[in-house]
Amino acid sequence: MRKILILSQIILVILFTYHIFNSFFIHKENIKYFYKNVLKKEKFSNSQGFIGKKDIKYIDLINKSNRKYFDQFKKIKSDTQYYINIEINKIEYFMNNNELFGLDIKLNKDPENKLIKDKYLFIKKNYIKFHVETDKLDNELIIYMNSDSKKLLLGIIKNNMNLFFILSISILLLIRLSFYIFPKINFYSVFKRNILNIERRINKKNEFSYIEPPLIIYIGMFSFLIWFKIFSDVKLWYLFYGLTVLSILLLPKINYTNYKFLIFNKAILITVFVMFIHQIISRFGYQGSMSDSPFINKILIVSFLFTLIYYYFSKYKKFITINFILSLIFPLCILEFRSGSIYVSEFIYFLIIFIPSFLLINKKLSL
Amino acid sequence: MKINLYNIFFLLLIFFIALQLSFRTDYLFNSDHGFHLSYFIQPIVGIESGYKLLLDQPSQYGFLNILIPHILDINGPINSFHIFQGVLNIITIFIAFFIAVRILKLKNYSFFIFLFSIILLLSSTDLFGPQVYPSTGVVRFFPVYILILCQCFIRNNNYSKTREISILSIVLCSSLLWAAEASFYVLFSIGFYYLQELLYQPCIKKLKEVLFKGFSIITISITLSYIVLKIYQNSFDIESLNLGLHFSYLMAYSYGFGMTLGAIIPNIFSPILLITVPLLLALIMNRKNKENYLTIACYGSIIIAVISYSFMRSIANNINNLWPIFFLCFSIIYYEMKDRNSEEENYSLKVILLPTVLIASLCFSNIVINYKKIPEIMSTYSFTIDNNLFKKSFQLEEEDKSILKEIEKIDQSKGYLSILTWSKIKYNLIKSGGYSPLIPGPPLALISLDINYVSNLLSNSKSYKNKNGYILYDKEFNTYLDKLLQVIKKTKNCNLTKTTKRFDLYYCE
Repeated sequence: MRKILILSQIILVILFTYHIFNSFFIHKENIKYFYKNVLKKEKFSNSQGFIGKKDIKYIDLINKSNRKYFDQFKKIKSDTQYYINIEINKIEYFMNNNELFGLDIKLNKDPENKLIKDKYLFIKKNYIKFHVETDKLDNELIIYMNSDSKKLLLGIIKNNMNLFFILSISILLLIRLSFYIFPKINFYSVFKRNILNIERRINKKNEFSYIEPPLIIYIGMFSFLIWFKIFSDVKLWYLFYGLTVLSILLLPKINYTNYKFLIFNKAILITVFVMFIHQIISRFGYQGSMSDSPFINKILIVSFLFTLIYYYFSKYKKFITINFILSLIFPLCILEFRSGSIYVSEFIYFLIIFIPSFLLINKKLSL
Repeated sequence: MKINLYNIFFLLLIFFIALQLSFRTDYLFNSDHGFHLSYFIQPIVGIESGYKLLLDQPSQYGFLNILIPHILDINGPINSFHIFQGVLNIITIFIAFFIAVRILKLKNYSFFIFLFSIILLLSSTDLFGPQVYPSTGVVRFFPVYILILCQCFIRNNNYSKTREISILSIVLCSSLLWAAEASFYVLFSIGFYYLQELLYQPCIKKLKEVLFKGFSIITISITLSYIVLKIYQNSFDIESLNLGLHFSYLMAYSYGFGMTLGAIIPNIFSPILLITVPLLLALIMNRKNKENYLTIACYGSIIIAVISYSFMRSIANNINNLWPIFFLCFSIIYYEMKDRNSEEENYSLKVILLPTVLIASLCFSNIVINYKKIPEIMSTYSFTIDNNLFKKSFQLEEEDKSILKEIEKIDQSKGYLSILTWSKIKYNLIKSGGYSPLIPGPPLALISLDINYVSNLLSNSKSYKNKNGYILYDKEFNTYLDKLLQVIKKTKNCNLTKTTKRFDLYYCE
């Protein structure tokens, strides 16, 4: 029992850490959104009273033209505190006090400055954005924003601590209670039996086993790179292209009947599915989260497309894993870039036009 | 092959519709206001005012695709380019027709051509067509269609090595002259296919054969291109050609210019997977069947080559622009493999057909849903565009009336003027007949080049040195344009003649 208790707590801590960092990056994106859509678009002048003011609150900046951005910003912000410091002042002021803002004398970010350099739990302690603009009297102003990432992260941890303790205690109680109610069940043997079943399934081979590994390796590599966003845009895309070219050239030529390949393959498959689920929850639809269509409609589209493609391959039951992968990935890929034309918002079009078109075209072209 | 009245009637109908859609003119008046068209029109306008391609007139999208409409010269640059683009669309449909009817001998050829035509001409979600953004259509990818036709022809007629080399050399030569990017697509496709052929059966004999073919194709195509360029040089009286200019934009793209402007990191479900996954899967499943493997490798190489376009401009929807090529390549793979049967291959046939069916269904259902727009599109069919339609008034802000008067004066006196802006004033770039460009345009295309390169280009241009004229600089919408202004100030003596809150007007001599 002790092992199960420890294991459950480890899993909970991992999930909690993931949740904290995920929330942190969502809020950080929201702060970036605020800077880009409010601070960068706003024209500041002397009459507004912001120039030189020490304690500008983000809420003071709300006006008619940017209200819709604020609504979106506040929706994500909810009750999380952001610790945003905004300063608007003449360029000379920033030149004279450059160190206070993490800048060098030429007003570039100074990598040696404490504000820029300091890190906390692998993330930069301060998130700094600024730009220069010219006001109506030809004064050059700097619009500067600094958000304290350390405080933000600690705030998120604090907000979620209660949830963590409640969950932790509930799980401990639940496990203890289970042993109390079912004293005769040996959980370890049940666990072991299931593991053996899974192992047997993993090792199961058929004559077409060689088809899966290269495909899953390719999808896995692609997904890993995007999911982790390891490189900048330019390098990432070069890497994708290079990987695609190499995959087409080399993957079909490797012999995959080796037992180790099969286990490796299944391990990647499980990881890829975890990433898929995360992406579906966090960025679903046309160009990520840009689609405003209801989540349920997107799910319906994906489900129907899944069924349609699965049906398309239904004659070939031997390739069930491949069929499943294709039926899952393709609908999600289509939704990513063509939700406009498959009419997520008006689902009925999809049913009465797209599906019959697909069946008709398939029949005609297959002749 | 079945030739009956139904097929003939259907083909005539398709041709009639394709003709109307190829020459539709509504794209000139929609929300883009011809801005993207200006990347093709401005170099032609530049040539008319003394600049020369491959000397001092940069052209982001190519050489032949600018030179031909310039030589056509039918009622001005817009009209010439419009006709050129329309004709290319029609030729591309004929290529599909030839492949379906003469080479693959399809039973349902009229249905196939119908699908290809709508994918080529109406695949955008708003049914704007490829004309709005010529850089995404046949004007950019025409040599790729020619390559598909030639590869299909060579493979299905069992041509000798000599014929294969001759045909592919001509294709590579035409693509080299068409545009640097097109030559990359063609060269990569041929090279990647030969590499896969070699890796399928790696031996010295094969290596020698592949090296011979590759070397011959490159040598012949370069020789042919050299001859054509010499003819161009003598006809246009150019002292020495600047071939670096031809490749300058390809280099800019390779340094990530396209990505810095419009990069979007997708989520895991990139539309690119829709294309690469079936291709990879089909290759894996046919790795023991040489004929099938080489069929997939041949057209797959073309697919992989053109996908680099989507990588270079990583906007999710850019993959849409390649749909006609994907449709054609996947269909050819499918029909070429269809007769060679086994259970595995049947499955790979299904896999290969899937992108084709999905692309066609998405496009077809989009058209059905937007059927109300079709009559409007059809009614804009016209062979002639009056250039006067585009002599639109300059759009400036209310408080800049003084600047507006100045530039209208320049326009009336047919003086030299270049406008450096990202604002809606850039819509004036397809305007012709009034002012002439002071710098080789469009100015927005110059910013993607290295600024020292632009500086050298302008310093060495006689045409630029001999021109005195105006620069209108928009201080508000000036991303990257400030550097271009600095270059102009460095290469000419510029005096500020008028300044307002928003604009600076310089006279440069």
